[in-house]
Amino acid sequence: MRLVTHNMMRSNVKDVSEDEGYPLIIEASEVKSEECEFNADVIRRLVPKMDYKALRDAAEKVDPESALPDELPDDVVDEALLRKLHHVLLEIHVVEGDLVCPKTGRRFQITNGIPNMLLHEDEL
Amino acid sequence: PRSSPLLVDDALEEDDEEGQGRGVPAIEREHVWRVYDAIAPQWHGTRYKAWPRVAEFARAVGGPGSLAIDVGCGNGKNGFAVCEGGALCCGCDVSRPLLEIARAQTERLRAYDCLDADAVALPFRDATFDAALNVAVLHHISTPARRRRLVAETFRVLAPNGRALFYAWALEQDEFEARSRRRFRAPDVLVPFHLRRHGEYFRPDADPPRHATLDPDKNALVLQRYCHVYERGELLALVLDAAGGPDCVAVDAAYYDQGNWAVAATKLRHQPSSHPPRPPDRDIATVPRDDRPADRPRASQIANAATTRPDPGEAPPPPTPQHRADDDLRDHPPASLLALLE
Repeated sequence: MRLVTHNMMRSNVKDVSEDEGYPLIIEASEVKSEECEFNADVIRRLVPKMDYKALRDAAEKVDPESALPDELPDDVVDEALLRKLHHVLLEIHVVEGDLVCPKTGRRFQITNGIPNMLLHEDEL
Repeated sequence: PRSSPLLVDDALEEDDEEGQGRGVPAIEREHVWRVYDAIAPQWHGTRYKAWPRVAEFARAVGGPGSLAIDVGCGNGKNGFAVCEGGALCCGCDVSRPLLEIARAQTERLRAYDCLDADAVALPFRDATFDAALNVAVLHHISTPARRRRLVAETFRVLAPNGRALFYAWALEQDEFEARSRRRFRAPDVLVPFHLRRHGEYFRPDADPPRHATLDPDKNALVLQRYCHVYERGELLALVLDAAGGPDCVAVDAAYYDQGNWAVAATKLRHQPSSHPPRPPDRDIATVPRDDRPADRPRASQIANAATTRPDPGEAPPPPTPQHRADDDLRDHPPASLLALLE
């Protein structure tokens, strides 16, 4: 699971509102970094769609050395910053661990990079 | 007949009622979820190519930095067209075995993530994606209420001006397929899949669903997939309704393709509630069992796919050529399926 995906996810447990269920708390037991091709245009267009605070917090958790700035300019053009964002959004993978619903504490397991978000009957 | 309707009756009766219809119906667990888990490698081996018109849509919506969701992604085959232009894609499916295949297939794509998730309860925020694919999912959903919820969920996670593409199996195969002069007798059917017990896809340790029967001639297990086939206009009406009506959605195209009805639509505006519009819950407990209306398929509606519809004045078609060695259906229910039932 990449952090770009985590940034879009929320707890789907019933009676958990949009705000209550976001962002999911990452508790990673295995994280890996995998290089992929950098495309400045992709990152520039992608970044405004992200919740930057949630992204920064998640990056701090799973890749403490990523060192993202506290705030972003409205349009990111600086290549060094774009590359940092590229790394955080696309190259960090949470392979094993849990995503935790911030309201209910419900844990969703990540196995082999794939989060299991299937709910039990009483959570639907 | 190749399959027994009795088991289907049992499956229907076990339907969860305390969950007010929110749980996964037994017929879907046994005849969709468990089937796909069992057939994943063989199914993938025969379906690695996206349909051209789906790929065309995927490329059109998948620009650089675009966010796409593939609802019911299966083996991830649509991911390539989506990600070609620099889009990022989340593939969701309920089948972990299929997702593992998708993960391996899409590893080299810049950003394709897989999630084990149910399309009626997507783990994503409102208004997030620029594009959604929902291909070959809706025909596996057994009640109108669940179909509405599923479509509503797809629209919920789309951003305003986001585009969606829905594909679901068509009832009217005979009108379009040159080889087929038949149509399904009933909208809810069980469709066989022959799972080979030999060859490159065979996994001896796999645990088949309990309804599986053995076909000794083909050395295969016969599994039955539950399918609701859509009649002309039905998918379109479903999309319009579930999206919230014509104020909320613009239909870009509605057409027939490869045995499916297809609808492409653009979300116009986001509905304020953060949960999908829920249809009024029926008070199931007080309605006598026999009077319960169409919210679940009745046993009598579950039938094997149709045999020939009488066509006075026309010579019956020649028998369909040799049943294919692998899956009976590919991705659409063609004549070969119907030939199995003779």
